[in-house]
Amino acid sequence: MKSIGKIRLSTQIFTFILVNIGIFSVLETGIVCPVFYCHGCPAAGFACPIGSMQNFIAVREELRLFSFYLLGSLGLFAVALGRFWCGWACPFGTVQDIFIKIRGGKNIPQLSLAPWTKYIVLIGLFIAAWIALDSLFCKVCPAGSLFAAIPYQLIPFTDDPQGQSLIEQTIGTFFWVHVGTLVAAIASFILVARFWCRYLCPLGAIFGVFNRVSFLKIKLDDSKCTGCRQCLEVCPTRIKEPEHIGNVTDCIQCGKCVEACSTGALRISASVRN
Amino acid sequence: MLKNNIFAIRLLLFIVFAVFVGLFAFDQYDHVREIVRNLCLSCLGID
Repeated sequence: MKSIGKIRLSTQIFTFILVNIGIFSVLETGIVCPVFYCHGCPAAGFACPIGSMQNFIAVREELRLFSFYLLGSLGLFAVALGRFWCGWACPFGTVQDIFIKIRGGKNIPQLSLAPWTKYIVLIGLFIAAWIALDSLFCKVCPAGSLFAAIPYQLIPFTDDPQGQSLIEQTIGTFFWVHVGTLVAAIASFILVARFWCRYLCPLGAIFGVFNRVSFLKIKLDDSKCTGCRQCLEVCPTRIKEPEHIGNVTDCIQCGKCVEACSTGALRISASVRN
Repeated sequence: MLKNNIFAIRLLLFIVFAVFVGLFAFDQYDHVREIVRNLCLSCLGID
């Protein structure tokens, strides 16, 4: 079971490459990506579901207030894999994993906030888009900062004849807001493992609801569980009971618990029937 | 009983979402593609 970590790293790297296929502009698609990645990235090939939904709400074009295409796509992804997307594919989750590696030791205090804070973010961002007629959340999103706003400043745009960057002359207030939210996010990643996923991610909030019914999920065999709680020791989202693994909205289904389980009581299971 | 319910809910959700995509993709795919192609510069902090 030790290979789970390697497979997970491979899928995270593969996803990062895949979401950037828009570097070839012909491959910029209207497909929604089931991970937290900004389609403002210069290389993005897929649409951010949160950003796109806000756009539909803000634009309100021809009474298409709500995109059933986006909802359907997201729903299919969620029913298929639940929060496996967060643990195995999300580029923003991968960044948080990197910070978990960097910080090393375990003696760092853990926050214990309510897991429903991410639902306040989810509802709040849609209300904000409705009131402001704009994608307000995108202007403060730390994923947008990391994958779009800052790369845009780093990549030289040579549209003007003098070869000057058009962008660097036009840095606005929200760029510095982006930098601020990114710094705050990174600080939170260092202090609390997977802070964004546990407390703030609006996409994780949606996928979390489907954890219980997704086709692929981590399952516990009670008859093999010895109650050693090794699975909980390694859990980055600090699930409190073995029975909750794979079911609660916080579980990102990363599989670290499956690796840690010496009796094989936990396993990743794909099943249609149960 | 609970397992049967989960199976039924899973199947129902899958069908409902698949119908959403099937019915609305034709109308809305291009709109989403335009969102990806036409960057929101103000969202990137560019005035």
